[in-house]
Amino acid sequence: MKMVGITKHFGAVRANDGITFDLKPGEIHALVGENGAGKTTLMTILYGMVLPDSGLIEINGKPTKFESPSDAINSGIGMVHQHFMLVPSFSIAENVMLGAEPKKMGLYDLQAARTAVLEPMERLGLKVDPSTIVGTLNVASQQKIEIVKVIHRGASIIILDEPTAVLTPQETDELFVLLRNLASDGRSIIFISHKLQEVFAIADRITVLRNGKTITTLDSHRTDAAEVVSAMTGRSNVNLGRVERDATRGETVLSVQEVHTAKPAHDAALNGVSFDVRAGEILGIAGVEGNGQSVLAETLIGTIASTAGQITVLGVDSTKSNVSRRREAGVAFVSEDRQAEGLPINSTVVEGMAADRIRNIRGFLSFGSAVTAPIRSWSKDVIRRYEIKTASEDAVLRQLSGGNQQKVVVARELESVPSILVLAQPTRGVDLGAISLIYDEIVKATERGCAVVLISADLDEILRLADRVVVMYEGESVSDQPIEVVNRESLGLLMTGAQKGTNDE
Amino acid sequence: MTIQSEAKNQSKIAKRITSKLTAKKLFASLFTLVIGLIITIVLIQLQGYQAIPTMIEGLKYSLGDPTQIARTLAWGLPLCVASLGVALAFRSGMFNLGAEGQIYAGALATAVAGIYIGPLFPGVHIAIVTLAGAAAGALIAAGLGWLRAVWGVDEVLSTLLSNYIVILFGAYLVTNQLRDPSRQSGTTRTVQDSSMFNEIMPKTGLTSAIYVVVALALAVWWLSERSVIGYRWRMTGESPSFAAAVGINVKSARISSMAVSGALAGIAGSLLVSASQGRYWTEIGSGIGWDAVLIALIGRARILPTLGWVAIYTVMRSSARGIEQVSAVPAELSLVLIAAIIVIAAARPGVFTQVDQLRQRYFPRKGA
Repeated sequence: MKMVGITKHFGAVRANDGITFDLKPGEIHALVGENGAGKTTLMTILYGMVLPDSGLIEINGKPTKFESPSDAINSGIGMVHQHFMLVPSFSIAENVMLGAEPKKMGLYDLQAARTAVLEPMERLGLKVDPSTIVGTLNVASQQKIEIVKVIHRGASIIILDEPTAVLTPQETDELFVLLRNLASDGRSIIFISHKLQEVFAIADRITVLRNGKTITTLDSHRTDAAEVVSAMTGRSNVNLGRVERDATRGETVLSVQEVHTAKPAHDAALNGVSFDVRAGEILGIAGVEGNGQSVLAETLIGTIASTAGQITVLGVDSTKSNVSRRREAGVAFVSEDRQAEGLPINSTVVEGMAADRIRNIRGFLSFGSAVTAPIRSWSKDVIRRYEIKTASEDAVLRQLSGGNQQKVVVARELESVPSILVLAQPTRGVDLGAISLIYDEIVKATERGCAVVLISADLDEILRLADRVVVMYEGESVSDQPIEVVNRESLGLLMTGAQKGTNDE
Repeated sequence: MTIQSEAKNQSKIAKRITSKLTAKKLFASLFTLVIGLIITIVLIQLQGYQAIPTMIEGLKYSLGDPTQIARTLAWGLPLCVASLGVALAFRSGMFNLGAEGQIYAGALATAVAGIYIGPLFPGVHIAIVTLAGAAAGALIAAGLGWLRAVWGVDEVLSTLLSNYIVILFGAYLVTNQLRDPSRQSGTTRTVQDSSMFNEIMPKTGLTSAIYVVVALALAVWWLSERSVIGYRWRMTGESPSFAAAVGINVKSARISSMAVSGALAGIAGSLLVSASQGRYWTEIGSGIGWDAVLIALIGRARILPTLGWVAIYTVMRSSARGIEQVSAVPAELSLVLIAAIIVIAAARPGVFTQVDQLRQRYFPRKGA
């Protein structure tokens, strides 16, 4: 497969600008680049969801034109999306057969569906009954079913979009074994990721995109992470190791004791979470998504009420305080859902940034202007200091890139000079430049004595920043250890709930 | 390039983008309006009349000379206040479909205060009856807002149904306790003269209430778009979870915005009595609460576009009445039209992207 000179405009934006990409049979080819580099656009073009403005796609030397995903599927291209396209209430066999059901006298042939699915399932090492309902399976198995589905449709080229985002390290290793098996069968795999460690573990070749252009294609055995990162960012000497900082630990400022909550729709309920955080300390909270981390963040800021337990902020019992009181006590919060909770996405930069300053205006002053001249000039200053790329402070937040939106959130929360900072997935969907700025600001905050709770699904982030790690599993804190004694593997095991950890305190 | 010149360049680009966006928005409104006009022409032609001359006759009736303009304006004043009220609630995420009922409540309270209090010094009496109308509307709307904020009662349902309760309760009162014994059932006595606004142009119905409406429009714009209170309302409307996470009291934002919305609808009802009819009767609202909901929808709850659409709709209504006089085209034409405009406004983004996609497919831009 070969893509030559692919160009695609969205309005004034060149999402893809003359991209060249080729794929050999039996190869695992990683596609890396920052957010907005054009990875997703390129893959939607290959999958026929978007028509390129110009450029050529060749399959086995023949020029092809995909008008729709079904054209792409017929040419042997399959895609496993980041958000699975499965019907949770259907069985495995029904999901795999969806749209191409075997029929007997006009009726759905259950038996034929079962046997047709069993063979590829066995090949992928999936030992489950095909009549199992998909919704009852864990995420890793659901992902394998997605792969079974594309293989069943005869895909010889499989696109995987950020497949490891939802997996534990162990599950990732399993997935990699499976991918290598597929490659040795002669299928080609395009692996989209921004986790370099995984890219090096699995890929034969690596193509780096930046600003819609192909920067380079490297042989993964003849390159290293530094070279790939500098190709991705266009800068050399990007630090990927532990973030250095010079913070002394002070008193305990946040203490969480045996906190429970009711069960929300999208996450596990908290079921006895306890930890302390001291001034100047960064506490990492690790865990597979859906094990209560989101609820923990919401409970710490006060948008979800706890049903039992105690939260103490700077020595004062704040369990019953509302958001406004907690913020006054010095708690700041970077939400994991930037688009809904972190920012008013259809409002202006200054409106999103000044929320914390406007919060305290009461009484007659509430009839006065919200965005006053001092707030406006302050926001200009913040935009400059945090290097936020925006047309002006009156630009609509939706028009900013993810990284710049996140800088607005982080700036707002740090400008209130908090003593406790709760960060939930602070760098999700954020480019490397913005990440390094955000890390710097976090470090600065701890150096002046701010305590940080860092909730992250990205283990690397926790290993780079945190002083201690709490692992959450099914709404409980199952371990609490200093960063020096943990590693990816030990944390990975704890995240799957395989072993109850030790609380080193 | 130096940082300064880069910044200058950026702000230039920003300005260009902003002016482009404004032009695009204006063009979109114009597009909606033109399609609406085409539909009007077709509808009038279907009735067997010459469309263009008929429409010109209609426009003469609404805007032909100062007297006609004043009449059109007088009819539009209550609608303007009610539309602002509905838009304000929409902006904070509260779907106030109870404007019609709140208008009746405001009118009834005004009539009662105008009949049983006074006579007083005119300015004082007008202030009292207007405040009575505002309070009546505000109480109902705030109550419904409270149900939503505290108990999670869907405000679409509760405000919609509140209309029937309020309007029928009003009808009960004016056929019993408040009934004018000297007239047929269904109306109150006329209010005292000191509670009525003065006509500022004879025989047009245009009263000094227009100053009140202008002042209200300015105040509502400031409150919603610029003030701290409006900021809290708008943030709650845009994303309740964002508002909650930055410490805005979402419940009180919802209740207070509903209260102000209801107060404005109540004032609209009040004006129907004190600036026009001089009494309360069972069909005094004549559906302007529903018109207000539609207008706030087309104006997408923004205050300035809403005012613009109030003006357009008022002229349309008045012209339709003119057309009815010179032809057999019914005045309900304006309602058909406003409904069509809403559908067009809703379909427009889809149509635009469709056209754009087709153009890109068949006439791809080279090297752009």
